[in-house]
Amino acid sequence: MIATIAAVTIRSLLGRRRSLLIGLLALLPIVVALLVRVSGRVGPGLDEIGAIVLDRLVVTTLLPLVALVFGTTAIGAEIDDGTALYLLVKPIARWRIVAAKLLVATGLTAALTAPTAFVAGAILLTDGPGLAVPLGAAVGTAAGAVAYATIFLALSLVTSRALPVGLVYILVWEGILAGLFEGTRVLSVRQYALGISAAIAGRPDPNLLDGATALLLAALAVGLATLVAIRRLTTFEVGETD
Amino acid sequence: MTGRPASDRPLWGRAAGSGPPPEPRPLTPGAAVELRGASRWYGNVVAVNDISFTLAPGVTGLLGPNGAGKSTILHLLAGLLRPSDGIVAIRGVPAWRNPALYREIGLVPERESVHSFLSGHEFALLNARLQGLRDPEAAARRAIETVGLTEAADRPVGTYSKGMRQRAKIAGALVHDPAILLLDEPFNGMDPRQRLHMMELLGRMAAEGRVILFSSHILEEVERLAQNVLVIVSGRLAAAGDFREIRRLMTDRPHTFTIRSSDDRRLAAALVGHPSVFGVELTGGRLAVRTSDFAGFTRALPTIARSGALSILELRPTDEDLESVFGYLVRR
Repeated sequence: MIATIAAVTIRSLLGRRRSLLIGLLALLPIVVALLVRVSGRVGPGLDEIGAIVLDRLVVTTLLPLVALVFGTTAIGAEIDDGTALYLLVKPIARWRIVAAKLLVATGLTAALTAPTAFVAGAILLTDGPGLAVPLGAAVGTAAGAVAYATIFLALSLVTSRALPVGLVYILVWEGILAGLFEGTRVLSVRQYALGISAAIAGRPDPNLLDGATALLLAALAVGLATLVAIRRLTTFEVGETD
Repeated sequence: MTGRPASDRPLWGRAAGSGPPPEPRPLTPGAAVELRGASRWYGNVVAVNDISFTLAPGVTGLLGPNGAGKSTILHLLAGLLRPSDGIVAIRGVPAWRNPALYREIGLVPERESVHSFLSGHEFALLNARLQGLRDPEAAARRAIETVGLTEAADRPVGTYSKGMRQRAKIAGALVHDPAILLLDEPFNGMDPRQRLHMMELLGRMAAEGRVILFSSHILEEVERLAQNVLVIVSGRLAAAGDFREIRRLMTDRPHTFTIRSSDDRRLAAALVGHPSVFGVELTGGRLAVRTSDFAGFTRALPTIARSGALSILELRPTDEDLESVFGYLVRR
Protein backbone atom coordinates (compact mmCIF):
# COMPACT_ATOMS: atom_id res chain seq x y z
CA MET A 1 0.00 0.00 0.00
CA ILE A 2 2.74 2.41 1.03
CA ALA A 3 4.75 1.35 -2.02
CA THR A 4 1.80 2.09 -4.33
CA ILE A 5 1.35 5.59 -2.92
CA ALA A 6 5.11 6.21 -2.96
CA ALA A 7 5.43 5.14 -6.60
CA VAL A 8 2.76 7.58 -7.80
CA THR A 9 4.19 10.34 -5.63
CA ILE A 10 7.66 9.86 -7.14
CA ARG A 11 6.23 10.02 -10.68
CA SER A 12 4.30 13.12 -9.78
CA LEU A 13 7.26 14.86 -8.13
CA LEU A 14 9.82 14.03 -10.80
CA GLY A 15 7.44 15.15 -13.54
CA ARG A 16 7.34 18.71 -12.24
CA ARG A 17 9.50 21.43 -13.73
CA ARG A 18 10.73 22.58 -10.36
CA SER A 19 12.24 19.11 -9.78
CA LEU A 20 14.39 19.58 -12.89
CA LEU A 21 15.58 22.96 -11.61
CA ILE A 22 16.34 21.46 -8.23
CA GLY A 23 18.28 18.66 -9.93
CA LEU A 24 20.41 21.23 -11.74
CA LEU A 25 20.91 23.15 -8.51
CA ALA A 26 22.21 19.97 -6.88
CA LEU A 27 25.01 19.89 -9.46
CA LEU A 28 26.18 23.39 -8.58
CA PRO A 29 28.43 22.49 -5.61
CA ILE A 30 30.14 19.82 -7.76
CA VAL A 31 30.71 22.32 -10.56
CA VAL A 32 32.16 24.83 -8.09
CA ALA A 33 34.42 22.14 -6.61
CA LEU A 34 35.66 21.17 -10.08
CA LEU A 35 36.36 24.80 -10.97
CA VAL A 36 38.38 25.23 -7.78
CA ARG A 37 40.40 22.10 -8.59
CA VAL A 38 40.94 23.14 -12.19
CA SER A 39 42.19 26.53 -11.00
CA GLY A 40 45.10 24.59 -9.46
CA ARG A 41 44.74 25.75 -5.89
CA VAL A 42 46.38 23.42 -3.30
CA GLY A 43 47.27 23.34 0.37
CA PRO A 44 45.38 24.55 3.46
CA GLY A 45 43.47 27.11 1.36
CA LEU A 46 41.78 24.26 -0.47
CA ASP A 47 40.68 22.72 2.78
CA GLU A 48 39.11 26.00 3.76
CA ILE A 49 37.30 26.32 0.44
CA GLY A 50 36.13 22.73 0.83
CA ALA A 51 34.62 23.53 4.20
CA ILE A 52 32.92 26.62 2.79
CA VAL A 53 31.47 24.69 -0.17
CA LEU A 54 30.14 21.94 2.10
CA ASP A 55 28.75 24.24 4.78
CA ARG A 56 27.53 27.28 2.84
CA LEU A 57 26.67 25.75 -0.49
CA VAL A 58 25.46 22.26 0.42
CA VAL A 59 24.18 22.26 4.01
CA THR A 60 23.02 25.87 4.30
CA THR A 61 21.64 26.45 0.79
CA LEU A 62 21.10 23.36 -1.35
CA LEU A 63 19.85 21.00 1.36
CA PRO A 64 16.99 23.13 2.76
CA LEU A 65 15.90 24.26 -0.71
CA VAL A 66 15.67 20.72 -2.07
CA ALA A 67 13.88 19.60 1.09
CA LEU A 68 11.50 22.55 0.81
CA VAL A 69 10.53 21.65 -2.74
CA PHE A 70 10.03 17.92 -2.14
CA GLY A 71 8.63 18.30 1.38
CA THR A 72 5.96 20.83 0.49
CA THR A 73 5.09 19.21 -2.84
CA ALA A 74 4.83 15.55 -1.80
CA ILE A 75 1.33 16.02 -0.40
CA GLY A 76 0.80 19.79 -0.43
CA ALA A 77 0.66 19.99 -4.22
CA GLU A 78 -1.91 17.18 -4.34
CA ILE A 79 -4.04 19.01 -1.82
CA ASP A 80 -3.76 22.21 -3.86
CA ASP A 81 -4.71 20.64 -7.18
CA GLY A 82 -7.35 18.27 -5.82
CA THR A 83 -5.57 15.03 -6.69
CA ALA A 84 -5.23 14.20 -2.96
CA LEU A 85 -8.93 13.29 -2.98
CA TYR A 86 -8.42 9.92 -4.65
CA LEU A 87 -6.07 9.07 -1.80
CA LEU A 88 -8.22 10.39 1.04
CA VAL A 89 -11.30 8.37 0.04
CA LYS A 90 -9.58 5.02 0.35
CA PRO A 91 -9.77 2.54 3.23
CA ILE A 92 -6.24 3.42 4.29
CA ALA A 93 -5.23 4.72 7.71
CA ARG A 94 -4.01 8.27 7.28
CA TRP A 95 -0.70 7.54 9.00
CA ARG A 96 0.15 5.18 6.15
CA ILE A 97 -0.40 7.99 3.65
CA VAL A 98 1.89 10.24 5.70
CA ALA A 99 4.47 7.45 5.91
CA ALA A 100 4.48 6.95 2.14
CA LYS A 101 4.77 10.66 1.45
CA LEU A 102 7.56 11.05 4.03
CA LEU A 103 9.44 8.15 2.53
CA VAL A 104 9.42 9.84 -0.87
CA ALA A 105 10.14 13.39 0.30
CA THR A 106 13.00 12.43 2.61
CA GLY A 107 14.36 9.81 0.21
CA LEU A 108 14.44 12.10 -2.82
CA THR A 109 15.96 14.96 -0.81
CA ALA A 110 18.68 12.71 0.58
CA ALA A 111 19.29 11.06 -2.80
CA LEU A 112 19.84 14.43 -4.41
CA THR A 113 21.90 16.14 -1.71
CA ALA A 114 24.01 13.50 0.06
CA PRO A 115 25.87 12.33 -3.10
CA THR A 116 26.49 15.97 -4.00
CA ALA A 117 28.03 16.56 -0.57
CA PHE A 118 30.18 13.45 -0.97
CA VAL A 119 31.37 14.21 -4.49
CA ALA A 120 32.04 17.91 -3.85
CA GLY A 121 33.86 16.99 -0.62
CA ALA A 122 35.88 14.27 -2.33
CA ILE A 123 36.95 16.58 -5.16
CA LEU A 124 38.14 19.29 -2.79
CA LEU A 125 39.47 17.35 0.18
CA THR A 126 41.28 14.29 -1.22
CA ASP A 127 44.66 15.79 -0.34
CA GLY A 128 43.71 15.81 3.34
CA PRO A 129 42.40 13.11 5.64
CA GLY A 130 41.11 10.66 3.06
CA LEU A 131 37.38 10.22 2.56
CA ALA A 132 36.33 10.76 6.17
CA VAL A 133 35.28 14.37 5.62
CA PRO A 134 33.26 13.81 2.42
CA LEU A 135 31.67 10.76 4.03
CA GLY A 136 30.79 12.78 7.12
CA ALA A 137 29.35 15.53 4.94
CA ALA A 138 27.21 13.00 3.07
CA VAL A 139 25.85 11.38 6.25
CA GLY A 140 25.22 14.74 7.93
CA THR A 141 23.49 15.99 4.79
CA ALA A 142 21.33 12.85 4.61
CA ALA A 143 20.31 13.29 8.25
CA GLY A 144 19.53 16.95 7.57
CA ALA A 145 17.52 15.90 4.49
CA VAL A 146 15.30 13.64 6.58
CA ALA A 147 14.75 16.34 9.22
CA TYR A 148 14.13 19.21 6.81
CA ALA A 149 11.85 17.27 4.45
CA THR A 150 9.76 15.95 7.36
CA ILE A 151 9.39 19.44 8.82
CA PHE A 152 8.39 20.90 5.45
CA LEU A 153 5.91 18.10 4.78
CA ALA A 154 4.27 18.77 8.14
CA LEU A 155 4.30 22.48 7.33
CA SER A 156 2.41 21.83 4.08
CA LEU A 157 -0.36 20.23 6.14
CA VAL A 158 -0.44 23.15 8.58
CA THR A 159 -0.58 26.00 6.07
CA SER A 160 -1.45 26.30 2.40
CA ARG A 161 1.44 28.79 2.08
CA ALA A 162 4.11 26.29 3.06
CA LEU A 163 6.55 27.34 0.33
CA PRO A 164 6.92 31.04 1.31
CA VAL A 165 6.71 30.24 5.03
CA GLY A 166 9.41 27.58 4.60
CA LEU A 167 11.58 29.97 2.63
CA VAL A 168 11.38 32.60 5.37
CA TYR A 169 12.25 29.91 7.94
CA ILE A 170 15.31 28.87 5.92
CA LEU A 171 16.56 32.40 5.33
CA VAL A 172 15.75 34.03 8.65
CA TRP A 173 15.91 31.26 11.23
CA GLU A 174 18.37 28.75 9.79
CA GLY A 175 20.38 31.35 7.87
CA ILE A 176 20.73 34.10 10.45
CA LEU A 177 19.23 33.69 13.92
CA ALA A 178 20.07 30.06 14.73
CA GLY A 179 23.78 30.65 14.17
CA LEU A 180 23.98 33.79 16.30
CA PHE A 181 23.44 32.38 19.77
CA GLU A 182 24.57 29.20 21.44
CA GLY A 183 21.09 28.46 22.80
CA THR A 184 19.35 28.58 19.42
CA ARG A 185 21.70 25.98 17.97
CA VAL A 186 19.65 23.18 19.48
CA LEU A 187 16.70 24.30 17.33
CA SER A 188 18.49 24.34 13.99
CA VAL A 189 18.51 21.52 11.44
CA ARG A 190 21.60 23.05 9.85
CA GLN A 191 23.40 22.67 13.16
CA TYR A 192 22.27 19.03 13.45
CA ALA A 193 23.65 18.31 9.97
CA LEU A 194 26.96 20.06 10.69
CA GLY A 195 27.29 18.37 14.09
CA ILE A 196 26.71 14.90 12.64
CA SER A 197 29.11 15.62 9.74
CA ALA A 198 31.89 16.72 12.07
CA ALA A 199 31.43 13.69 14.34
CA ILE A 200 31.58 11.19 11.46
CA ALA A 201 34.55 12.97 9.90
CA GLY A 202 36.36 12.71 13.22
CA ARG A 203 36.81 16.47 13.43
CA PRO A 204 34.95 17.55 16.57
CA ASP A 205 34.36 21.30 16.68
CA PRO A 206 33.53 23.14 19.92
CA ASN A 207 31.42 25.58 17.92
CA LEU A 208 29.14 22.77 16.79
CA LEU A 209 26.76 20.40 18.59
CA ASP A 210 28.41 17.09 19.45
CA GLY A 211 27.40 14.18 17.22
CA ALA A 212 25.18 12.30 19.67
CA THR A 213 23.26 15.41 20.71
CA ALA A 214 22.82 16.46 17.07
CA LEU A 215 21.50 13.00 16.13
CA LEU A 216 19.14 12.90 19.10
CA LEU A 217 17.77 16.37 18.40
CA ALA A 218 17.34 15.57 14.71
CA ALA A 219 15.44 12.40 15.63
CA LEU A 220 13.26 14.43 18.00
CA ALA A 221 12.49 16.99 15.29
CA VAL A 222 11.60 14.21 12.83
CA GLY A 223 9.37 12.48 15.39
CA LEU A 224 7.56 15.67 16.33
CA ALA A 225 7.02 16.79 12.72
CA THR A 226 5.75 13.29 11.81
CA LEU A 227 3.23 13.39 14.65
CA VAL A 228 2.03 16.83 13.56
CA ALA A 229 1.67 15.63 9.96
CA ILE A 230 -0.31 12.52 10.96
CA ARG A 231 -2.52 14.53 13.28
CA ARG A 232 -3.24 17.15 10.61
CA LEU A 233 -4.02 14.61 7.89
CA THR A 234 -6.23 12.56 10.22
CA THR A 235 -8.43 15.59 10.88
CA PHE A 236 -8.03 17.01 7.41
CA GLU A 237 -11.19 18.47 5.95
CA VAL A 238 -11.86 19.08 2.29
CA GLY A 239 -12.98 22.64 1.78
CA GLU A 240 -16.09 23.99 0.19
CA THR A 241 -16.08 23.91 -3.60
CA ASP A 242 -19.78 24.50 -4.11
CA MET B 1 -9.14 22.24 -2.31
CA THR B 2 -8.50 23.96 0.91
CA GLY B 3 -8.28 22.04 4.08
CA ARG B 4 -8.32 22.67 7.72
CA PRO B 5 -8.36 20.34 10.64
CA ALA B 6 -11.42 20.13 12.79
CA SER B 7 -11.43 20.40 16.52
CA ASP B 8 -12.28 17.30 18.49
CA ARG B 9 -15.96 17.77 19.00
CA PRO B 10 -18.18 14.79 19.64
CA LEU B 11 -20.16 13.43 16.73
CA TRP B 12 -23.39 14.75 18.12
CA GLY B 13 -24.13 17.45 20.62
CA ARG B 14 -25.19 21.06 20.48
CA ALA B 15 -23.00 24.12 20.53
CA ALA B 16 -21.96 25.18 23.99
CA GLY B 17 -24.54 27.23 25.84
CA SER B 18 -27.58 25.88 24.05
CA GLY B 19 -28.61 23.52 26.81
CA PRO B 20 -27.90 19.88 27.52
CA PRO B 21 -27.31 17.67 24.50
CA PRO B 22 -30.37 15.69 23.45
CA GLU B 23 -30.27 11.92 23.67
CA PRO B 24 -29.19 10.60 20.29
CA ARG B 25 -31.99 8.53 18.83
CA PRO B 26 -31.17 5.28 17.08
CA LEU B 27 -30.60 5.65 13.37
CA THR B 28 -33.19 4.54 10.85
CA PRO B 29 -32.79 0.78 10.47
CA GLY B 30 -31.71 -0.34 7.03
CA ALA B 31 -30.90 3.16 5.75
CA ALA B 32 -27.78 3.06 3.59
CA VAL B 33 -27.23 6.76 4.07
CA GLU B 34 -28.64 9.01 6.75
CA LEU B 35 -28.31 12.63 7.71
CA ARG B 36 -30.01 13.51 10.97
CA GLY B 37 -30.14 17.19 11.91
CA ALA B 38 -26.81 17.62 10.19
CA SER B 39 -25.31 21.09 10.05
CA ARG B 40 -21.99 22.39 8.97
CA TRP B 41 -20.75 25.89 9.49
CA TYR B 42 -17.51 27.71 8.79
CA GLY B 43 -17.08 30.36 11.47
CA ASN B 44 -20.27 32.40 11.21
CA VAL B 45 -21.21 31.09 7.78
CA VAL B 46 -23.70 28.24 7.78
CA ALA B 47 -23.13 26.02 4.75
CA VAL B 48 -25.61 23.27 5.68
CA ASN B 49 -28.37 23.86 8.15
CA ASP B 50 -30.16 21.11 10.08
CA ILE B 51 -30.70 18.69 7.23
CA SER B 52 -32.25 15.25 7.67
CA PHE B 53 -32.85 12.59 5.05
CA THR B 54 -32.25 8.93 4.35
CA LEU B 55 -31.38 7.34 1.05
CA ALA B 56 -32.36 3.96 -0.32
CA PRO B 57 -31.17 2.20 -3.50
CA GLY B 58 -31.92 4.14 -6.68
CA VAL B 59 -30.91 7.48 -8.12
CA THR B 60 -31.49 10.57 -6.02
CA GLY B 61 -30.81 14.04 -7.37
CA LEU B 62 -29.37 16.67 -5.08
CA LEU B 63 -30.74 19.79 -6.72
CA GLY B 64 -30.02 23.38 -5.87
CA PRO B 65 -28.45 26.58 -7.13
CA ASN B 66 -24.68 27.08 -7.00
CA GLY B 67 -23.47 27.70 -3.48
CA ALA B 68 -26.54 26.09 -1.90
CA GLY B 69 -24.49 23.56 0.05
CA LYS B 70 -24.66 20.53 -2.26
CA SER B 71 -20.93 19.87 -2.23
CA THR B 72 -20.86 20.27 1.54
CA ILE B 73 -23.52 17.57 1.88
CA LEU B 74 -21.60 15.22 -0.42
CA HIS B 75 -18.37 15.90 1.45
CA LEU B 76 -20.10 15.25 4.77
CA LEU B 77 -21.40 11.94 3.42
CA ALA B 78 -17.95 11.06 2.10
CA GLY B 79 -16.42 11.62 5.54
CA LEU B 80 -14.33 14.50 4.23
CA LEU B 81 -15.98 17.06 6.50
CA ARG B 82 -16.85 16.85 10.16
CA PRO B 83 -20.48 17.74 10.86
CA SER B 84 -20.66 20.80 13.14
CA ASP B 85 -23.85 19.33 14.54
CA GLY B 86 -26.08 16.31 13.99
CA ILE B 87 -25.30 12.90 12.58
CA VAL B 88 -24.00 11.79 9.21
CA ALA B 89 -23.98 8.02 8.94
CA ILE B 90 -23.32 5.40 6.30
CA ARG B 91 -24.98 2.08 7.12
CA GLY B 92 -25.46 3.32 10.68
CA VAL B 93 -21.81 4.21 11.23
CA PRO B 94 -20.52 7.80 11.47
CA ALA B 95 -18.86 8.89 8.24
CA TRP B 96 -16.28 11.26 9.77
CA ARG B 97 -12.86 9.77 10.53
CA ASN B 98 -13.88 6.34 9.38
CA PRO B 99 -11.68 5.24 6.46
CA ALA B 100 -13.22 1.74 6.49
CA LEU B 101 -16.42 3.15 4.98
CA TYR B 102 -14.56 3.83 1.72
CA ARG B 103 -15.02 0.15 0.90
CA GLU B 104 -18.74 0.96 0.63
CA ILE B 105 -18.50 4.39 -0.97
CA GLY B 106 -17.34 5.69 -4.30
CA LEU B 107 -16.89 9.45 -4.58
CA VAL B 108 -16.69 11.34 -7.86
CA PRO B 109 -15.62 14.87 -6.92
CA GLU B 110 -16.42 17.90 -9.01
CA ARG B 111 -12.81 19.01 -9.29
CA GLU B 112 -10.29 17.43 -11.56
CA SER B 113 -8.71 14.87 -9.31
CA VAL B 114 -6.70 12.65 -11.60
CA HIS B 115 -2.95 13.01 -12.16
CA SER B 116 -2.72 14.02 -15.81
CA PHE B 117 0.34 11.81 -16.40
CA LEU B 118 -1.56 8.61 -15.56
CA SER B 119 -3.47 6.76 -18.23
CA GLY B 120 -7.13 5.95 -17.61
CA HIS B 121 -6.19 2.33 -16.92
CA GLU B 122 -3.35 3.31 -14.59
CA PHE B 123 -5.70 5.55 -12.63
CA ALA B 124 -8.29 2.79 -12.25
CA LEU B 125 -5.52 0.34 -11.32
CA LEU B 126 -4.13 2.76 -8.73
CA ASN B 127 -7.59 3.04 -7.17
CA ALA B 128 -7.98 -0.74 -7.20
CA ARG B 129 -4.63 -1.20 -5.48
CA LEU B 130 -5.40 1.45 -2.87
CA GLN B 131 -8.69 -0.33 -2.22
CA GLY B 132 -6.66 -3.44 -1.47
CA LEU B 133 -8.55 -5.53 -4.04
CA ARG B 134 -7.42 -9.07 -4.65
CA ASP B 135 -7.20 -8.76 -8.43
CA PRO B 136 -6.64 -5.07 -9.11
CA GLU B 137 -5.83 -5.58 -12.82
CA ALA B 138 -9.16 -7.28 -13.53
CA ALA B 139 -11.09 -4.75 -11.43
CA ALA B 140 -9.45 -1.84 -13.26
CA ARG B 141 -10.24 -3.35 -16.67
CA ARG B 142 -13.84 -3.95 -15.63
CA ALA B 143 -14.30 -0.38 -14.37
CA ILE B 144 -12.77 1.09 -17.54
CA GLU B 145 -15.09 -1.08 -19.62
CA THR B 146 -18.12 -0.06 -17.57
CA VAL B 147 -17.54 3.62 -18.30
CA GLY B 148 -16.74 2.94 -21.96
CA LEU B 149 -13.13 4.08 -21.93
CA THR B 150 -11.50 0.86 -23.12
CA GLU B 151 -10.22 2.33 -26.39
CA ALA B 152 -8.60 5.33 -24.68
CA ALA B 153 -7.50 3.40 -21.60
CA ASP B 154 -3.78 3.61 -22.36
CA ARG B 155 -3.70 7.32 -23.19
CA PRO B 156 -2.68 9.83 -20.51
CA VAL B 157 -5.66 11.43 -18.81
CA GLY B 158 -4.14 14.82 -19.70
CA THR B 159 -5.11 14.17 -23.35
CA TYR B 160 -8.75 13.32 -22.50
CA SER B 161 -11.77 15.48 -23.19
CA LYS B 162 -13.71 16.80 -20.23
CA GLY B 163 -16.29 14.03 -20.60
CA MET B 164 -13.63 11.34 -20.78
CA ARG B 165 -11.90 12.68 -17.68
CA GLN B 166 -15.22 12.58 -15.90
CA ARG B 167 -15.63 8.95 -16.92
CA ALA B 168 -12.08 8.17 -15.76
CA LYS B 169 -12.98 9.62 -12.36
CA ILE B 170 -16.09 7.45 -12.27
CA ALA B 171 -14.04 4.39 -13.21
CA GLY B 172 -11.75 5.16 -10.25
CA ALA B 173 -14.75 5.47 -7.95
CA LEU B 174 -16.37 2.27 -9.26
CA VAL B 175 -13.38 0.01 -9.22
CA HIS B 176 -14.27 -1.63 -5.89
CA ASP B 177 -17.93 -2.05 -6.85
CA PRO B 178 -19.27 0.26 -4.10
CA ALA B 179 -22.87 0.06 -2.95
CA ILE B 180 -23.05 3.82 -2.58
CA LEU B 181 -21.95 6.25 -5.26
CA LEU B 182 -21.70 9.99 -4.60
CA LEU B 183 -21.22 12.26 -7.61
CA ASP B 184 -20.66 16.01 -7.48
CA GLU B 185 -21.98 17.75 -10.63
CA PRO B 186 -21.10 14.77 -12.85
CA PHE B 187 -22.55 16.36 -16.00
CA ASN B 188 -20.57 19.60 -15.85
CA GLY B 189 -18.77 20.32 -19.09
CA MET B 190 -20.21 17.33 -20.95
CA ASP B 191 -21.71 17.55 -24.40
CA PRO B 192 -25.26 16.16 -24.94
CA ARG B 193 -24.03 12.79 -26.17
CA GLN B 194 -21.74 12.38 -23.15
CA ARG B 195 -24.58 13.40 -20.84
CA LEU B 196 -26.82 10.77 -22.34
CA HIS B 197 -24.14 8.14 -21.95
CA MET B 198 -23.55 9.15 -18.34
CA MET B 199 -27.26 9.07 -17.58
CA GLU B 200 -27.53 5.57 -19.02
CA LEU B 201 -24.56 4.49 -16.97
CA LEU B 202 -25.96 5.88 -13.71
CA GLY B 203 -29.39 4.44 -14.47
CA ARG B 204 -27.84 1.03 -15.08
CA MET B 205 -25.89 1.15 -11.85
CA ALA B 206 -28.98 2.15 -9.90
CA ALA B 207 -30.85 -0.77 -11.46
CA GLU B 208 -28.16 -3.02 -9.99
CA GLY B 209 -29.25 -1.92 -6.54
CA ARG B 210 -26.79 0.86 -5.82
CA VAL B 211 -27.53 3.99 -3.86
CA ILE B 212 -26.64 6.87 -6.16
CA LEU B 213 -26.69 10.49 -5.10
CA PHE B 214 -25.67 13.11 -7.62
CA SER B 215 -25.71 16.87 -7.36
CA SER B 216 -26.79 19.24 -10.08
CA HIS B 217 -27.98 22.79 -10.50
CA ILE B 218 -29.80 21.94 -13.70
CA LEU B 219 -33.41 20.93 -13.33
CA GLU B 220 -33.60 18.99 -16.59
CA GLU B 221 -30.69 16.73 -15.67
CA VAL B 222 -32.34 15.74 -12.45
CA GLU B 223 -35.69 15.34 -14.14
CA ARG B 224 -34.33 12.87 -16.67
CA LEU B 225 -32.44 10.71 -14.23
CA ALA B 226 -33.72 10.81 -10.69
CA GLN B 227 -36.89 9.35 -9.28
CA ASN B 228 -36.24 11.09 -6.00
CA VAL B 229 -34.96 14.53 -5.42
CA LEU B 230 -33.60 16.59 -2.56
CA VAL B 231 -33.86 20.32 -3.18
CA ILE B 232 -31.28 22.36 -1.28
CA VAL B 233 -31.58 26.12 -1.01
CA SER B 234 -29.23 28.24 1.10
CA GLY B 235 -28.07 25.23 3.07
CA ARG B 236 -31.57 24.04 3.92
CA LEU B 237 -33.58 21.13 2.60
CA ALA B 238 -36.38 22.94 0.73
CA ALA B 239 -38.15 19.87 -0.62
CA ALA B 240 -37.61 16.14 -0.72
CA GLY B 241 -39.44 13.30 -2.38
CA ASP B 242 -40.84 12.26 -5.72
CA PHE B 243 -39.56 14.45 -8.50
CA ARG B 244 -42.87 14.73 -10.39
CA GLU B 245 -44.60 16.09 -7.31
CA ILE B 246 -41.92 18.71 -6.79
CA ARG B 247 -41.90 19.56 -10.47
CA ARG B 248 -45.66 20.14 -10.31
CA LEU B 249 -45.18 22.51 -7.38
CA MET B 250 -42.57 24.35 -9.38
CA THR B 251 -44.73 24.57 -12.49
CA ASP B 252 -47.90 25.62 -10.70
CA ARG B 253 -46.32 28.47 -8.82
CA PRO B 254 -47.26 32.03 -9.88
CA HIS B 255 -45.17 33.19 -12.83
CA THR B 256 -44.52 36.69 -14.06
CA PHE B 257 -43.89 37.43 -17.73
CA THR B 258 -42.91 40.66 -19.40
CA ILE B 259 -44.32 41.08 -22.85
CA ARG B 260 -43.53 43.44 -25.71
CA SER B 261 -46.18 43.56 -28.40
CA SER B 262 -47.43 45.72 -31.24
CA ASP B 263 -49.93 47.33 -28.81
CA ASP B 264 -49.26 46.61 -25.14
CA ARG B 265 -52.31 48.54 -23.92
CA ARG B 266 -54.79 46.54 -26.02
CA LEU B 267 -53.08 43.28 -25.17
CA ALA B 268 -53.29 44.15 -21.46
CA ALA B 269 -57.01 44.77 -21.80
CA ALA B 270 -57.49 41.45 -23.61
CA LEU B 271 -55.45 39.49 -21.04
CA VAL B 272 -57.22 40.88 -17.97
CA GLY B 273 -60.31 38.83 -18.72
CA HIS B 274 -58.51 35.49 -19.09
CA PRO B 275 -58.94 33.07 -16.15
CA SER B 276 -55.22 32.12 -16.05
CA VAL B 277 -54.20 35.76 -15.49
CA PHE B 278 -54.53 37.33 -12.09
CA GLY B 279 -52.54 40.50 -12.54
CA VAL B 280 -51.61 42.87 -15.36
CA GLU B 281 -49.38 45.87 -15.00
CA LEU B 282 -48.36 48.41 -17.59
CA THR B 283 -45.44 50.49 -16.38
CA GLY B 284 -42.53 52.15 -18.07
CA GLY B 285 -43.52 50.85 -21.49
CA ARG B 286 -43.50 47.27 -20.25
CA LEU B 287 -46.39 44.93 -19.86
CA ALA B 288 -46.02 42.59 -16.89
CA VAL B 289 -48.47 39.70 -16.55
CA ARG B 290 -48.86 37.46 -13.52
CA THR B 291 -50.35 34.03 -13.96
CA SER B 292 -51.02 31.10 -11.67
CA ASP B 293 -51.38 28.62 -14.55
CA PHE B 294 -48.15 28.46 -16.48
CA ALA B 295 -49.31 25.97 -19.11
CA GLY B 296 -52.79 27.52 -19.52
CA PHE B 297 -51.36 30.98 -20.01
CA THR B 298 -48.70 30.03 -22.52
CA ARG B 299 -51.36 28.14 -24.51
CA ALA B 300 -53.86 31.01 -24.38
CA LEU B 301 -51.53 33.89 -25.23
CA PRO B 302 -51.15 33.24 -28.97
CA THR B 303 -54.92 32.83 -29.36
CA ILE B 304 -55.63 36.06 -27.51
CA ALA B 305 -53.02 37.92 -29.58
CA ARG B 306 -54.33 36.53 -32.85
CA SER B 307 -57.95 37.40 -32.10
CA GLY B 308 -56.92 41.01 -31.34
CA ALA B 309 -54.67 41.14 -34.44
CA LEU B 310 -51.70 41.82 -32.15
CA SER B 311 -48.10 40.74 -32.67
CA ILE B 312 -46.06 39.45 -29.77
CA LEU B 313 -42.56 40.84 -30.17
CA GLU B 314 -41.07 39.45 -27.00
CA LEU B 315 -42.23 37.18 -24.20
CA ARG B 316 -39.89 36.75 -21.29
CA PRO B 317 -40.43 34.99 -17.96
CA THR B 318 -39.01 37.35 -15.35
CA ASP B 319 -38.45 34.92 -12.51
CA GLU B 320 -37.29 31.77 -14.25
CA ASP B 321 -33.91 31.64 -12.58
CA LEU B 322 -33.45 28.67 -10.29
CA GLU B 323 -32.99 30.86 -7.26
CA SER B 324 -36.56 32.14 -7.54
CA VAL B 325 -37.96 28.69 -8.30
CA PHE B 326 -36.27 27.26 -5.25
CA GLY B 327 -37.12 30.33 -3.21
CA TYR B 328 -40.75 29.66 -3.99
CA LEU B 329 -40.42 26.09 -2.72
CA VAL B 330 -38.87 27.32 0.50
CA ARG B 331 -41.77 29.69 1.14
CA ARG B 332 -44.33 26.89 0.61
